[in-house]
Amino acid sequence: MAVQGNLSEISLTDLIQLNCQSGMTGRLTVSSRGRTAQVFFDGGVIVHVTQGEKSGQEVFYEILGWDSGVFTLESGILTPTQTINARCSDLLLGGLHQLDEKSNPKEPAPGQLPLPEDVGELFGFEKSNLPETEDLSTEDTMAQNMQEILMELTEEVPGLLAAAVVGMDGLPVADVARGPVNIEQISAQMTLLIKLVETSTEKLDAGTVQDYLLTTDKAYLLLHFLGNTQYFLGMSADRSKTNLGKMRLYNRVFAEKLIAAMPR
Amino acid sequence: MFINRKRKEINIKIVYYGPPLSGKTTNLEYVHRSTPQPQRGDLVALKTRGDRTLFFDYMQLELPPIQGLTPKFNLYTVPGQVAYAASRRLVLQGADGVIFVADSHPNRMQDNLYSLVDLYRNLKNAGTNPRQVSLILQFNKRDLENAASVSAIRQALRVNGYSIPIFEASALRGEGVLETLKASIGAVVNRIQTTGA
Amino acid sequence: MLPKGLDFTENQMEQIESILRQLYWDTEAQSILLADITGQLISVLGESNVNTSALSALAAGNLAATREMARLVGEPARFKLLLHEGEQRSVYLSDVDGELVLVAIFGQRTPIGLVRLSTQIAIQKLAPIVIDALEAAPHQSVFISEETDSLADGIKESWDSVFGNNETST
Repeated sequence: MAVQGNLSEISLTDLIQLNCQSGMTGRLTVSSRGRTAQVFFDGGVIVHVTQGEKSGQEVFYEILGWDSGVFTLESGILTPTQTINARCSDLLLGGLHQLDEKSNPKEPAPGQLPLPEDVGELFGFEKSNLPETEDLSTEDTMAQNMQEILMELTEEVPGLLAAAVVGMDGLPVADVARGPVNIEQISAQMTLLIKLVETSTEKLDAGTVQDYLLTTDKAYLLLHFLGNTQYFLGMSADRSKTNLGKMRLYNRVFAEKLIAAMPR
Repeated sequence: MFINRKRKEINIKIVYYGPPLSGKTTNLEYVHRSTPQPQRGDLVALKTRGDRTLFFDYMQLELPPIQGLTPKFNLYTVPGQVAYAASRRLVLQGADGVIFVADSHPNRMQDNLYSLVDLYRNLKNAGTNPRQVSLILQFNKRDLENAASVSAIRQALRVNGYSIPIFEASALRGEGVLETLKASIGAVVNRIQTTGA
Repeated sequence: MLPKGLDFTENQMEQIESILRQLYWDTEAQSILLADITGQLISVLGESNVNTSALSALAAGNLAATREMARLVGEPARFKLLLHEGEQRSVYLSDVDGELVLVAIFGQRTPIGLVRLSTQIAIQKLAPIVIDALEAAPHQSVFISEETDSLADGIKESWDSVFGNNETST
């Protein structure tokens, strides 16, 4: 099965990130201005990138800069070889960093080369016998990380008015709003809405709700549960400025990130 | 490290390293202010107009002799900005100890990691074995209201599960600065003693 | 042992100082400094009110920067000398075998050509000493200590005597 699209609708970075997060195995072919490159995924891991004769990480960083063109995504196609050996997130971070870097082009930006997983070992430190006793998932840290993730979200989605992570008790854990918005009130209302809907869908025997989309003349309101936790991500965006497809995509992608930032 | 047998001096080089604006120069300025006159040399600072370190900052700290040798510590800071990578490499040459100054601001975690990895690479390029440099970590700017937790910074730096000397500090307030330097000096002297290198 | 660590024996130090003294008199310099490329001061002659350790750090940095420039412009060799000409004083920096930096500070009376010539001669004499020192076996541990602890204590005491003991545990 093949999916085709245009890079003007979804950026290559987003496309790649989506494939990584959904654990896709297959080939992504990208064509831009007469050049064609292929990215092979295996279970959500990028294993091979090639363009013409060249392959490997360098090619990956090059193509990240392609902002126009078409792509074809074919699932199930296996990679002929492995030329990449780094985590998805590291590659993307490194690539983005390189694109941002405007200084001396000959000097590799720190993020351009793959980042090692274990830095302690590089400097010859001794392993400690004690387990990491400090619990990283204190309320504060959790909220802080989520806050950062939401900030990213508002930067990515055009027309976004507010985004919040809310618990089923109606209380927001993290939120970002553009403009004067009463987050507590909105969160409480969203929770009420969910509870009402759930009661109804139960009665209709329609299965479990996955997300909620409400369309008004002014806005889109999108709510998505974070895994099977008791929290959901709510987003509201100005209908005239946003793109529903993009909103849904980001909602899904960021929900994953938020789940990762939550305590287990 | 350089030993001058005639003058009975041992010269040790310690470099403050870290991402831009993490407080390396602030650390050195505090050390300079806090060192009594006879023990300190002038503080040399090569700065840009914007008060950012251009090449390096430098001062010499002298301690009373141990076992007949007078220890003289040459303290340097590197410029943190990405564009000054070449300068960082130059300053790192011959470093006996490195104090890595990490920024506790939650948005700087990635920069912290990049800088630490950058340190590793530059040491290797300079021909120094990263395992032979006495490395001390300082988590600076603990005075920030939203300072990331020590665990969070360790995680960001990917040094979890290791026994590492970490010092919390607020260079602006002068807290933890001397403790960090003392530890770095101790680590270097200890290493020289045990390995002769 | 740091790969570039230089360690001179007392004998070698005396030879070095004699070469520097010759240079000092030949050029009527105000000061002569010798440092290693990492900025460590090795020897100094002349005016003592100059911050010599800072000067050696800066001279080494200066030479290192120009070495990098040479590399960037595609010049395979190192730039051999650097002259900073001032109104009253001039500074002449030379690279000794890539390992050391020789700094001569002189006033208006000395012709630059003389400084150049004398420095070249000095460098030729210094070169074999540097090579010997590099090829020598790594030195023995400088600190003689039966117990490792005593050294750690020694440095602690030394530090505390200057800064006081304000240790805070983390």
